[in-house]
Amino acid sequence: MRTQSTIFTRYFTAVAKASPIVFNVLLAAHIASSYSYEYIASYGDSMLPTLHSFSDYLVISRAYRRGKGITTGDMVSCCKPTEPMSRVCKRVTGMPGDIILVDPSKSSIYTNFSEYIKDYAVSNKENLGVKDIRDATTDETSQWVDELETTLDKNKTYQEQSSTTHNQFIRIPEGHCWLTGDNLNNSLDSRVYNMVPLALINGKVEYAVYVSSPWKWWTWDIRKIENIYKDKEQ
Amino acid sequence: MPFSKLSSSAKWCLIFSPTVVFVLQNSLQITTVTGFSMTPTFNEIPGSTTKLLIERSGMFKLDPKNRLRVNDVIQMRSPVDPERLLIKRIKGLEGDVITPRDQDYPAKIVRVPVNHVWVEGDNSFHSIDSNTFGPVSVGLIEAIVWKRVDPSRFPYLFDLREGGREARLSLINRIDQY
Repeated sequence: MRTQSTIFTRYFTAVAKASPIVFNVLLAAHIASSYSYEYIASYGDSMLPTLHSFSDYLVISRAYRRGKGITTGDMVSCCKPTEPMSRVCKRVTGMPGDIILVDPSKSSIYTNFSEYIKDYAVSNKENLGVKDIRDATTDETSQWVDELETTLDKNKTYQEQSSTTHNQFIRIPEGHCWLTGDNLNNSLDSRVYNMVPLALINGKVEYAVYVSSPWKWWTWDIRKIENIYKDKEQ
Repeated sequence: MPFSKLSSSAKWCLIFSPTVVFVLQNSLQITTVTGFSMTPTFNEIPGSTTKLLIERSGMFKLDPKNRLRVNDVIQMRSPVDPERLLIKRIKGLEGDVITPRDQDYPAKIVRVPVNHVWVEGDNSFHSIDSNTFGPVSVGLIEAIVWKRVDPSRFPYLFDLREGGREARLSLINRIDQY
């Protein structure tokens, strides 16, 4: 019996023959990208002076996975410790043995004044006679500032006397690193989730490509990501 | 030798080699355990080794709360040395309140952060675990141990019995009440 070959059957047999080949080519690409180089889109504001917020593509070298050969100043792609399936791109600013000041801007009386006053009012609630800090008027807050200044020790700086965890020095233990985004104002990094094990690092970012429009390849902005710490020493 | 000159079976072997590699990497594997950090459960005789059947798919990272359980044995990367693999037992999931075993630990009570686990070895005297390096991220977990392989005994595959101490504070209090 001979079946009539229609466009549908011809199309179906062609797809059935080609599909295992296509599947295996895609799998081979996946395996190659997890051991050699990876090309992946990045988005977010945390690396803003170096990388754009969107439509920036990264070339990641997977030879540096698990922190092999990573030094301070490298830009790395890393598994986020609090969300294991999502990846973040940050810059290594501390390696094992370094001493890190976490974030002085979060605890200084000059830069984070409202938080400072709130802490003071909450801790001295009964002395100040406050029910709810949100109801406080400007006169009351200025009065608290005066009282706060009398309690401060003149010989020490404000930062030395603040008790928050952001204003402390940390020695990074073995096998860990300190990651921060280049845009410190808008970055969720080691200042929030503490130091990161080197085993979570996926690779080192070597090139960034800004693809403004996909077809106009002559407008793509290809640039090499430099190690900022190394260049300053030379 | 060009690809077209190969025999049909050789062609198919070449074409399906990525599938073979992928399945070998992301499914069941057999590993050998050395050391005495899990001693009552594995390596009863000092210096002996144990073979384990482990599940290497990373799918548990998608939904750690539903896949990882307390008293599961896992294979993880050491946070201290990235190239070293450890076999430990999960003793607390995210949100659990843990009492550390060692008195040297900086806190008396630890609440495990989101997407972190508290791991301990069954041998409480010779084990480098969360009591020294704290709760670890789920991203460090490489595989879940499924069965213990013992080729000398029938039926060759054995379930892992429970071991170690109870580290969760709420359950310790409950035991004390009864």
